[in-house]
Formats: sequence, C-alpha cells, structure tokens
Amino acid sequence: MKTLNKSIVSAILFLVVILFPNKANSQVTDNGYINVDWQFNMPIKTGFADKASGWGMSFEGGYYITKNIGLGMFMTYSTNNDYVERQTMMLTETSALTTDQMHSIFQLPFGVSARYRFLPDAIVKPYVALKLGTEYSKLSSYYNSFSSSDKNWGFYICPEVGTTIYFTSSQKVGLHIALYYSYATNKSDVLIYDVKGINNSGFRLGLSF
Amino acid sequence: MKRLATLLMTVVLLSLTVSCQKDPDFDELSSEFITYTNYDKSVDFSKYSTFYISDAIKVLSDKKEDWSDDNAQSIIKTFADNMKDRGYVQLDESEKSMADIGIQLSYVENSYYFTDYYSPYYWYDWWWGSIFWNGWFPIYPYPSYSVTYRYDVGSLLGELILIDRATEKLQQAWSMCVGGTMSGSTRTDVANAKRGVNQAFVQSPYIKK
Repeated sequence: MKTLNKSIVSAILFLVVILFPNKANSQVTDNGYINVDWQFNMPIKTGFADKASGWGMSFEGGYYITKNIGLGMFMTYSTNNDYVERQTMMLTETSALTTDQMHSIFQLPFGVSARYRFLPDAIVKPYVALKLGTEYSKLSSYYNSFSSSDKNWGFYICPEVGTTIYFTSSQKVGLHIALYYSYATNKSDVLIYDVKGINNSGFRLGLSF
Repeated sequence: MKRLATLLMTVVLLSLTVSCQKDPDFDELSSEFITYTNYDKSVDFSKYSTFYISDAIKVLSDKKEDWSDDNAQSIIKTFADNMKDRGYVQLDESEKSMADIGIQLSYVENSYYFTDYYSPYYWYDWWWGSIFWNGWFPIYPYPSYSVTYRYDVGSLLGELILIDRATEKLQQAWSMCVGGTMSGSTRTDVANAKRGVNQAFVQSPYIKK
C-alpha cells in the first residue's frame, strides 16, 4: 500500500512537472515545428505483405497559426515485406504458376497536415492531427529470378494522435511520439493478388524541432 | 544554428539507417524453379493417343545446337514418363510421322529472354520443317504480366503441338516454362528442372487420354 501511494504521488509529481507551463522559452516564440521520425508500420488486411516493419521514416513540418492550431506538410515512406510459401496460382482460366514468393509493399504518401495541440505552454504537448494527400505505392512479388510489380497513386488520409515532450527549458528539441492509422485508395493487381485500398497502423518515434 | 545542425544530423542519420525502400531478403526464397503452364481451352486432350518427343533438347542461342547428353536424356525421359502416365503412347523416330502430338523441349539461358525473345518461328522451322507453318499461331509460354530478370537464368520450355496431317497444320495446345537462377551445379539444376517438369503435369490435370 505504501508502495502504491508512493507511485501515485510520483506520477502526480511527474505530470505536474511536465505539464507545468514553461513560458520563458516555449515554442510560442517560434511558431514553426519540424518532426523527423522513425516509423513502424503495419498494413492491415491488405492480403499482401501484411507484416509489421520498422523500415520507414516520417517527415513533417508546419507552422502554428494560433497557439493551438498548426498547419503543415508531411512526407512518409515505409516498406513491408512478407514471405509466401510455394503454391500454385491460377493466373488466368488456362494458365498456372507454381512458386514461392516474397511480397513487398512500398508506400510513400505526402501532402498537407493540420493539428490541434491541447497544452501549447506545457512541456508535454499532446495533439491530434489529420494528414491528407496522395500516396505512391509499389506492390511487388519476387519469385526466383522474376518479379511482378504494380505502381499506383491514390488518395491518402491519416488521423494521428501524438505528443511532443521537451526535456529542457529551451524547448528547442523534443521527443516526438505518435500513433496513427492511415488509409490510401491505391488499387493494385499483382499476379493473383487484387488489393483495393491500403490500411495501415503504426507509430512514429523521433525528434521534434 | 545549433538547432538546424541537430535537425540536419538527425535527418542524415535516420536516412542512412532506414533507406528509402528496403529490398526483401531474397535468401528466404527457395532455389526451386518456377513452373508456368498454359493451354488452349478448346483442345480436348483425350482425343489424341500418341506422341513423339525428340531425343535432344534444342538450345536457343545464336548458334543452333542440340543438348543430348545424359542430363538432357533424363529430362526428356521425365517428360515422356509423365505423358505415358497420362495414357499416351510414345512413338519412336521411325513412327514420328504418325504421332498425334509432337513434343518440343527447348532450353534457353539468357538474361533478357522474356523481353527480347519474341519470335520462336525459326525454331519450329528448324525442328518440324516448314510444311506445317500455314495457319499456326503460337501461344507464347510467357506470363501475360510484365516480367523482368534480375540475374542470368535458365529456362526449359516445353510444348505439346497437335499435328493435323489432313490440313498439314500445327496447333500449339499446351506450353510450359520451368526456369530460375542457375545454381552453378549441373546436377542440382537438372534435378530442379525434372521436378519442374513433374510439377507442370501436376498443375495440368486436363492432359490425359
């Protein structure tokens, strides 16, 4: 019980410290923001390379037009690869192909973003954001010495929740963490795989400037 | 200035760590050759009884040459055994002109075969002679989607040609392509090719007397 009380007090103290406004050097004096993140991405039920991967990055930059509302631009990219066991595929009514495969999805969305931050003067600045844009995607199947690919463009939407945590009073560089879900309308047709829309979820971890 | 330097350093470091598109680990792919088959849906394979297969595999290259050593013979025998298992009777050289089905096996080793090699006509002229040319249009044993080679590969091509002696025409009824990266070991490659031939028949159950 004593340990539990100690933990609660510690947590409250921690929250007070990180949420306590630091007016001397808050970002209000510099309304711009830039996030550079490592991205961990997982396609959801695309039926093609649905294996989580950390091969991705995210770049975002913007400007706070008010203390709470920021507008900006973003670009991310990610690759997800997955092995498919040897199987016989009916490519058409009369043709068949037997092979194992390595599936790969490369996604590169970019566009504009808007965000609302809840505690502009705190050390921890949680926010919600919405990113809209276009996505370039390339779905590839590699089998033995061959490959089949389909490149496409589609509309991209990505709601995101995250926070920036500053550890110094100058608030020049902070830790950035975000969770996201995204959907792109890209449609691809590779061998027997017909992908209509790409859903993703994942997280971003990096630095905020 | 310090902030800009930190930002640039982060971008460079992360970019080096997570390159734009991550290639899959091709070592996960098996070395088993791919097997592709296609057939003419209008053909009733049960109407035919006999077949003739040459005792040499044609090597498609700048020079016209045959491949007829023990390795070639074992591949030819594998093909012929599959035909016999399906109820067809093999005819020898002296009965060649009486065969209902002619079987052509060819081998090509070329990095750009699928994109560069468009006309196999000469190869028919060379093997069957030109008397059956009229009205024959081949079904190419190539997948209908884009295919690119990454390495030098070998491909064993096989075709069932229906011979109409009354009209002196040939009709391609079935085609096969067994191919992939050569291992460098003839023994391994021949074993791989024979497994590919067997697989071609497994995925072509319609070939039966």
